[in-house]
Amino acid sequence: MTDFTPPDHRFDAVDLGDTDREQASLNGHTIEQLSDYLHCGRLPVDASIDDSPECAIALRSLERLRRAQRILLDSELHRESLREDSWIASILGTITLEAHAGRDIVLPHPQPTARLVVTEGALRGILRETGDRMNNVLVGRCALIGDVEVPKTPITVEVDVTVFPGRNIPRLAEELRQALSAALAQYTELVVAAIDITVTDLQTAIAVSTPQQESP
Amino acid sequence: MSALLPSTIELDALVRAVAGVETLYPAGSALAAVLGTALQAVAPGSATAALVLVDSQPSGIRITAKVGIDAALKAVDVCTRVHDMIAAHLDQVNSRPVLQIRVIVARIG
Repeated sequence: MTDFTPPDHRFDAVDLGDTDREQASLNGHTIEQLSDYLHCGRLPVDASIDDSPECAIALRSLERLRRAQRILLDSELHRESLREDSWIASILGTITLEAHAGRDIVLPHPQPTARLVVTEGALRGILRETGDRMNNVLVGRCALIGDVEVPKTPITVEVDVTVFPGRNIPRLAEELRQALSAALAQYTELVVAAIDITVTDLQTAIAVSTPQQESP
Repeated sequence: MSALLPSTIELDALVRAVAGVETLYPAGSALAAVLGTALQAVAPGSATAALVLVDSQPSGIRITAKVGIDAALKAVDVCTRVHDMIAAHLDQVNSRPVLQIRVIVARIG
């Protein structure tokens, strides 16, 4: 039987090269360091983490992932059906990459001297959280395809999800699409041509509830 | 009355007070923020690094505020309030010409 990473253990499933590690760092930190920080109850306080919105987004995603993993591992049936840690590793990889600020998504203001923007990282973070709050879903990758920096340019949102048993998948996908659409309208003025949802992983053991809203 | 550079401490307080702003992040470089934190660690009580960035240029000033916002509110509404609050303050203190007021939503919720 495969050994699995316990839910209270720091994540170390991502094995990146030096260049990738540098690129993947979050305000100078790696996802492993953030996982350690979480594991230690965010103590001792590290302002370089706490003062970074990118780290905050990644930490929230890590918390939700841990909670989902804990629920899964609490299930003996699921423990036996889990194949390997690659599922966790792939989600960790996308959390690292998608927490970066990325491009500027412009918001309108009548003053010519005003420049109001939402970072791509902030938007991806809340879209991921929107999906993770739904029962039976955990978001893997979330990508904004198209020129988000040019107002009124149609873009496509691509979301990869893991689905847990207990729900009709087409209905679940439709609910997720509606939730994502509402979030996009709440936080941006983007013209969304399509929201493409791909179920990339089906967890097959028992019905579980993925993490609900976390405390701030 | 001559034109002034706005007080970054006042700008920090103004932005923090805007409804919907949950967090004010350092708008300068990450390196500057880390150095500021390190300075505070070795010399408590030293001047705290300002979070709102005021970039003075020959032709005027550029202001940047980086915020985390309440997920229950529309981002454009919160950003507009932050912008308008800064603009009103700059007008009030007779600041140098404003080239740009940049409000960045770096985190939602």
